[in-house]
Amino acid sequence: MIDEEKIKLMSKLAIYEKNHGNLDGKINGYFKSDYVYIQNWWTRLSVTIAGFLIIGLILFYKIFVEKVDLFSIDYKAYGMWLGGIIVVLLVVYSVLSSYVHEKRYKASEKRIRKYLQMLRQLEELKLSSQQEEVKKETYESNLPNTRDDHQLL
Amino acid sequence: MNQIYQIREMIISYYKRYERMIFPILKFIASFIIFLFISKMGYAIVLTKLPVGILFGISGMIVPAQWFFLLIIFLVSTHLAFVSVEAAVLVSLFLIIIYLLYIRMFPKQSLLILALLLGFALRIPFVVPLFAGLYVGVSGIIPIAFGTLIWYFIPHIQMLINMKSGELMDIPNVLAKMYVSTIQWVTQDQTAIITIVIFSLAIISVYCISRFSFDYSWYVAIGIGTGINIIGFLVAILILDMDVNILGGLVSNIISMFLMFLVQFMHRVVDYSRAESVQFEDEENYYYVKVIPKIILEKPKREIKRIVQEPNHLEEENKEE
Repeated sequence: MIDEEKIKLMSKLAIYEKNHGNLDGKINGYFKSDYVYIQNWWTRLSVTIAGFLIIGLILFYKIFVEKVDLFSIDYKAYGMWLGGIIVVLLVVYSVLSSYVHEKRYKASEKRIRKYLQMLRQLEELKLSSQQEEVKKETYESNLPNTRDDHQLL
Repeated sequence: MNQIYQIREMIISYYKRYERMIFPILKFIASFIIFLFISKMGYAIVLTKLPVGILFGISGMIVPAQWFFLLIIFLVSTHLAFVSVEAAVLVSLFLIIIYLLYIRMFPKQSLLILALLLGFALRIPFVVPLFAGLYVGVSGIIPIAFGTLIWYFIPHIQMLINMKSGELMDIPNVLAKMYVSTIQWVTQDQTAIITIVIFSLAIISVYCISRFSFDYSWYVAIGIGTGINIIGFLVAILILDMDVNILGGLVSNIISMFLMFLVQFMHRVVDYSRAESVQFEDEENYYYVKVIPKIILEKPKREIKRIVQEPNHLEEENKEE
């Protein structure tokens, strides 16, 4: 027989799996610190690339527009200045990325907790329906079969 | 008023019933409109063909937001590369920097960039800051700023293309010229910066007012946001001599305000979980379930006045008779 409650729960579980299952599975495959750490590295990598592109644009301007003589450049000062840009970008984005990915991890944890709770409910529902069936079978077998007796009489 | 609520309920229930079809179609249409605007450049004829547009629209339906942005960058750069390699390099560099620093981390908020560009193209850009203030928050300022910069940079691209070099050896010099011209544009053209400031003020005020708990605070926030947009642009036109059409701006602001009123009135469509169709199985059966969320709408409050004559009065009246 079709159990309405069971279908409702299973539908909710299926919707979760369809919409968030894959992503949450990936996120939850890591501990929080590991997840944030890995995501931070990806952020740092993309920020470093962006930083180098910005530095490239600045250097291009210096060389081709300001026509700075490459042999008379104070490389140490330039290096410090350009390196400073990348360091500032990295620090700012590390903080931002930690905040964003911690938030994403927490949101994913919350969804998974809800999912597990629904799974437990489904288990309980299954258990209670099994118990019902066992009860029914036990009591039905113990009932006196009076109908046949009457018919015989 | 009751009729309006009934119409709203009808539209929402209709939308929910066919949401599984409507949502992807809307995505396709939005992507296709973006394609049409990019195709207006018309430099790479191959990329303006209808099959490419359909493919682009389908990609917009399927791929995540951040990949879609990469696709747009690729399309724009290819168009430019057909007419000027230098302009393509410069523009794609700027776009890639924006992608790496913002879009990659906040792909969903970045959709506001596209929304603003579409808003500008359809001459109702004011609707986007109002929307960002209501539903995204103060962080919506960043994509709005990027969107505004990109929109005001588009006419400048034509200038860059005109500088194109004839020979391969000239490329660095031409690139340098383009670069200088772009920097001059950033420092001299105040329109983009003023627009960003006005939009930011509108976003902040809409966000703050909509968080108050008084009745209709969301609608008041939209009204005040529109007021800030109008006053901001009037001030910019009068004091800072900004080149904006006053009447057009006013009409656009009013249309944006009414559009946002409509969005706010219907916002439960956005709020609620979507209609879904799922398949699963247990030990006994296979299930194919279509789930349509129930929508409980706020109905207008009805005040019931009890008009009952007190029994003492009735007795007095009887006596008098």
